[in-house]
Amino acid sequence: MSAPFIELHNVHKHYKQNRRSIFDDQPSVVKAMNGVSFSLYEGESFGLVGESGSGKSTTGQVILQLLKQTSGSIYYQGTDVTTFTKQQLKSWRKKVQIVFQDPYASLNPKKTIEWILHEPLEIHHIGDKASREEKILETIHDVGLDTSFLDRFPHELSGGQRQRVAIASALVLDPEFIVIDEGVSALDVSVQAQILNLLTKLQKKYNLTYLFISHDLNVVQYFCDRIAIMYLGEIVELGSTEDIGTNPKHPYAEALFSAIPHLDVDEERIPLAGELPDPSNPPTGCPFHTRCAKAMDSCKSVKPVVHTMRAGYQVTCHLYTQEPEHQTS
Amino acid sequence: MSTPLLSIENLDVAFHFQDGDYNAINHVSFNVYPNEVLGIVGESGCGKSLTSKAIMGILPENASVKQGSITFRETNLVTMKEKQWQKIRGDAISMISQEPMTSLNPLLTVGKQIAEVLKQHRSYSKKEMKEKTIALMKEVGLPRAEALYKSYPHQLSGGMRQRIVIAIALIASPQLIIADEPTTALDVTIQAQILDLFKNIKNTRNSSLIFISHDLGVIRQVCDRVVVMYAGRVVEQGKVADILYEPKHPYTKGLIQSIPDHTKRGQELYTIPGNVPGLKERKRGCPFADRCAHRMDICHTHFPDEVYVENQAVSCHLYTKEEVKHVSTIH
Ligand SMILES: Nc1ncnc2c1ncn2[C@@H]1O[C@H](COP(=O)(O)OP(=O)(O)O)[C@@H](O)[C@H]1O
Ligand SMILES: Nc1ncnc2c1ncn2[C@@H]1O[C@H](COP(=O)(O)OP(=O)(O)O)[C@@H](O)[C@H]1O
Ligand SMILES: [Mg+2]
Ligand SMILES: [Mg+2]
Repeated sequence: MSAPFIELHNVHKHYKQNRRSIFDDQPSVVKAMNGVSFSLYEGESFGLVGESGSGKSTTGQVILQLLKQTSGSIYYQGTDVTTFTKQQLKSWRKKVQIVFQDPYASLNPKKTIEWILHEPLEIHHIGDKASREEKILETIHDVGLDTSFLDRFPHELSGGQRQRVAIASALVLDPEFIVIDEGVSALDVSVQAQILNLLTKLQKKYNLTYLFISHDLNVVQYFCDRIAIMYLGEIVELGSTEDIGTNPKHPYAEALFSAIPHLDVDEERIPLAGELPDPSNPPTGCPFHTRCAKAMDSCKSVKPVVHTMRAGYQVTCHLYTQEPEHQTS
Repeated sequence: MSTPLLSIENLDVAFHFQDGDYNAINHVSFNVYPNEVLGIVGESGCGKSLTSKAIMGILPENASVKQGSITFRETNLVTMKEKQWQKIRGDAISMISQEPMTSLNPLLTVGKQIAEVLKQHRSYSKKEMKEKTIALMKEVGLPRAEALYKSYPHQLSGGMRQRIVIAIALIASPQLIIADEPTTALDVTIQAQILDLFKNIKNTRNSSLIFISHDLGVIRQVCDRVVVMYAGRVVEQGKVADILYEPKHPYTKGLIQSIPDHTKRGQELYTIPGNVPGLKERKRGCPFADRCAHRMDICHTHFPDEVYVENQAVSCHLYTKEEVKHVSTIH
């Protein structure tokens, strides 16, 4: 494989929460990223999945340096962006963009679509008046809209059209990398299909790299080349979509994938008891052991390490690193 | 088939705007039979929630039933007074909404909110109400129900709050429960737990359920039959397997084809051209005509009668030719 396009090295992001009551003497800490390492390769769609609260959005925003990590390094084409100065960050930001779930919240309601697309060009001092106009026209066509949309306002558009504008406003700066954070989750099926096709078309045309964050595993398995599964701030399994989709290894991944509602026959459901534990007070040992049907004694105290099943396929679970002990359940 | 528990016939619901009335629900007819789970599926704006609000008698102020009837146990709900409604709501018919947070009172303990329904509709002692509430909380999968009884909504996770909302809907043992997108806001793992709960309700309780969802995979798991809506119209209805695997209406076909999954990886997804028409953009005839590859002249002028094609009822001119048998009501 070629050199990674983006590389995360043991990244931590801890949120300090205010004391929740006068009886808490310590402010609690949520480890939204707890030693996250993975690489993205140029031109791929990399899916990040997991239940809400597992740290997906935090990871996307930390990569883009919209949030500062607590520790760790993030290399973008070999350069550590966590050490960038303000100036360096600003010029790098052109290349990396984000599209959110709710385009209504991310588009300024008082501005026309033309203004929304013009703004990033102005902030980054790109081109002159004529070339900016040309770029805006090119972009609006790229996302499947026409020039009649330019003097409209976000509220005059349908959900799908707004999401096209949000994609256009990310695209207008000629980015290399886009984080799509639940970018198609709120859309109806028929609109979602249009936007997914659009994202694929743009990726081919501009050789874009996507970090595709979604809780919809059907969409992720359709769209992504590789998938990482996150649980309480940690990557528990990472591999190709084929590998993980057909035969997930980590008990959490197994349960997650077996819960997908399919249109055709159901796989046997692997029940997952309970809900995500309090992230400010995560379990000891393996963070998943409290809900794991295959938990062994060691899982309660010993944190599993990343185990490489084969090149490009890793699982963080004692089941694959030790001889099986007697099960506790 | 047996007599329906609920029968909606030719229902029109219109919004009143300054420039006139616009039908958001157009000639909708379907039945709900005792002890069945009926799904309603369709994209946002097609009228799923409005249909359920019409059944519950809680239409928005600027909307009203223009024609048609909703018959529940031989009573036409449409002509009922609010006083009569209050007796039925929560008791004989109850509703579970999509957003559990908005349907719970943040200032009341969750146990009280469940018990409150009994207080309104039954004459139990305080002790009996609490016992019944706690038993039901356990039934809907809430651990440590005694302790949870005294907690407030914000102290619970999304999944637990949805279980409370479900308990509120179940406590009076209604004959009809309407669940409007009850798992849409939840993670797949929690969704799977809640769907199991619905399957359990279906097996253990003597109620019928209307289960609204935009997700056909979810519909498939819990429903016996399904009604497909598009732009205020019912375009197709029948048994879930027939609709999913042998869809007849071009819209249903397109909808199913455009659902992404791992088998379609690397392929362009099928897309239905154009957009769902807004309330004021709906034209005469079949509302899907402008987006339909099979449209004919008649589609732009007349909405087709519902006809039986193989096992399901379809409203599409492709099937209204002579050789197809017309039937007026379809189970
Ligand atoms: N600004 C913040 N302050 C404190 N905690 C936060 C903040 N943002 C996110 N968190 C917490 O960090 C964890 C991960 O959140 P997030 O990255 O949004 O997860 P996901 O996108 O997977 O749902 C959650 O427990 C969340 O409550
Ligand atoms: N309060 C309202 N005022 C005006 N139009 C409304 C209102 N509520 C719903 N509508 C319109 O009625 C139609 C049906 O809405 P709804 O039943 O909520 O759709 P669904 O639940 O299928 O997404 C939509 O076109 C919607 O825009
Ligand atoms: Mg998120
Ligand atoms: Mg709705």
